[in-house]
Amino acid sequence: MSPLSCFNLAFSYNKKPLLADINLDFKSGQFVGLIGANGAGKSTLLQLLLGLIKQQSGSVALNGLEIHAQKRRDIAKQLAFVPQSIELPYAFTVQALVAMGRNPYLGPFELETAKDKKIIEQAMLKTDIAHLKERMVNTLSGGEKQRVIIARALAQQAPTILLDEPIASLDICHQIETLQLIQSLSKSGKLALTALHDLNLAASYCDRLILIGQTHAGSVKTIIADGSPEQVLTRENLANCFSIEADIIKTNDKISLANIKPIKANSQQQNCETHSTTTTAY
Amino acid sequence: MFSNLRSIQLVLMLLMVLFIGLTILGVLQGPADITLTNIWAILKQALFSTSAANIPNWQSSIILDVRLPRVIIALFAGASLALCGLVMQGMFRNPLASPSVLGVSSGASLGAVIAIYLGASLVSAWAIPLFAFIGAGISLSIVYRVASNRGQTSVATLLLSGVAMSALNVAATSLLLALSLSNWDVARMIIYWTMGGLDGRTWDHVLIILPIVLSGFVLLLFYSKQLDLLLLGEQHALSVGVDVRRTRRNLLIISTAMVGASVSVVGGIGFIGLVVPHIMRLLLGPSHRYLLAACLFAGAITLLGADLFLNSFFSEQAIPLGVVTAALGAPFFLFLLIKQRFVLS
Repeated sequence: MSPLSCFNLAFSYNKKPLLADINLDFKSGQFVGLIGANGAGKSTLLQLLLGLIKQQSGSVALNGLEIHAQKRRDIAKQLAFVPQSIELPYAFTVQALVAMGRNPYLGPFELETAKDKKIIEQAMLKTDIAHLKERMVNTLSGGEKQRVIIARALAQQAPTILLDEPIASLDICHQIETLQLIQSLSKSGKLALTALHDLNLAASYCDRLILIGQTHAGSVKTIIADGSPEQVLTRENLANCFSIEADIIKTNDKISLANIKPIKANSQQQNCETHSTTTTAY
Repeated sequence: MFSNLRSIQLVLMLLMVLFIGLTILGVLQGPADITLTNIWAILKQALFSTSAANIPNWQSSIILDVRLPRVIIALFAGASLALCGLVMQGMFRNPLASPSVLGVSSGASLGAVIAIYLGASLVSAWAIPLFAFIGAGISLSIVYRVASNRGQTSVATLLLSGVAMSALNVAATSLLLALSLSNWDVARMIIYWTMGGLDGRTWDHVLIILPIVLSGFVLLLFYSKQLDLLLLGEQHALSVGVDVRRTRRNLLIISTAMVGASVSVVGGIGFIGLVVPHIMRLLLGPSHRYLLAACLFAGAITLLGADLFLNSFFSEQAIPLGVVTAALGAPFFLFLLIKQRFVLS
């Protein structure tokens, strides 16, 4: 049974349709990258798949069961999430924060057992933050914080992990380390679905890419392409969804983009400009 | 500041000692001179119904019907305000939230005044707390709706919506008072009630505040883990299995019930709900496992301490309790605001 799937998903915000006709099916052991331009609805799609927001039509199934019919506690045992923004107004230690990943397994007054402590320890070792465990989370750098949140998700021991741009605030070294970590998780049998901005990193680490963007018809976003990086990152898709032109280079089964240039053609430029005006309007 | 368990236990022990010490002091101290042996005999008589020799009746009624309810009400009203402040700061993920800042206390006051105005308070002693609860609940839900956008609250919107809500509540309260002036009996009751404080409180008031605050505290203990998780934000909390919407709704109900109970008994006393949780968080860290108990004791200590302070040094001036808490709390609030400004910029 597929750990996560969705069928005919459609979502509108303030009566404005954002996403429509989203059909996806995931398999265990996949590292899936979710790509698309700013405002394409990557975060929205992740939140729909997590059941954080409710779709207007269609359904999301976690292990074959409708997600909104399940308790959050049970969902948390199947599905871990690493959100985009990490804002911590109060000071928890790294260890205390990672330990929160055990919450779905513990009652209101239960303390962590030796087994829980071992899982927490391993999650910190895997993300290379064991040396920080006594530190306050709000004194850490962006990269360290990100790894703490990933460790918390690992401590949840969920077979599926969703990440919303986990490498956006990291330097290149930590970006690679984080992606390698996620890759190793998927190799060990977990399903990892990650929203990513960097197309080159997405192409070199992900087994499968899902591109969301708008079709020619209207402003509603949907899946434009779904498949291996080579199938998804075509010149046509890059032009339509990102308004860029690039050389697609293939080396050892992996593809990468070089010579990336914005397209100045009429229709695409319009597309680009609508984007920039919406961002300034924010 | 202290993250290890031993210092946390030390702080909790210290709070408990202060709590017991101030309680005893509150019973011993008062404008009437009653000897220690007499007080002891009176308490023994009340507890074990032993017959005590030659204690004047007025002495036992001062101890049993004036000082004892006054002390108990001070303890539980203070505890309730501090606990509500703690819960609101956690829920809004903002250290500036508290019942008085968010307009919840003034909402409770408005509710209570409506109960008096409509004459409901004459029908049942529970009318004032019930209306106070409804008023507090409506105010808090409005502020909450306005200030939080998808689980994020901005400081500015939160404070401004609290200010607006307070202004509206205070204006409505004044309007009701003005309307009631034609009926002096009602107006007098409203004026007397709005003065608040601990004077003239009886066992009837204890029966309102004690069960609500105690059961509220016990219920909050069940939410200590969820409160920790909510501090990380809605998405984190949902991700680790907290039903955020339900948890928030239940926490809102519990804390408004507690504010309603304390406001209907002692009136709006500001800043305890702001300052006490803050100091406790500085001492004990952010984990609600310890903060809930600490705020229960510390809030109780603060309000009873303020009352004892007024009684011993300014007993002739009849200064309202809110003046002392505001004198200490308002500068602290400004200090927090300045600190936040630096963090934000």
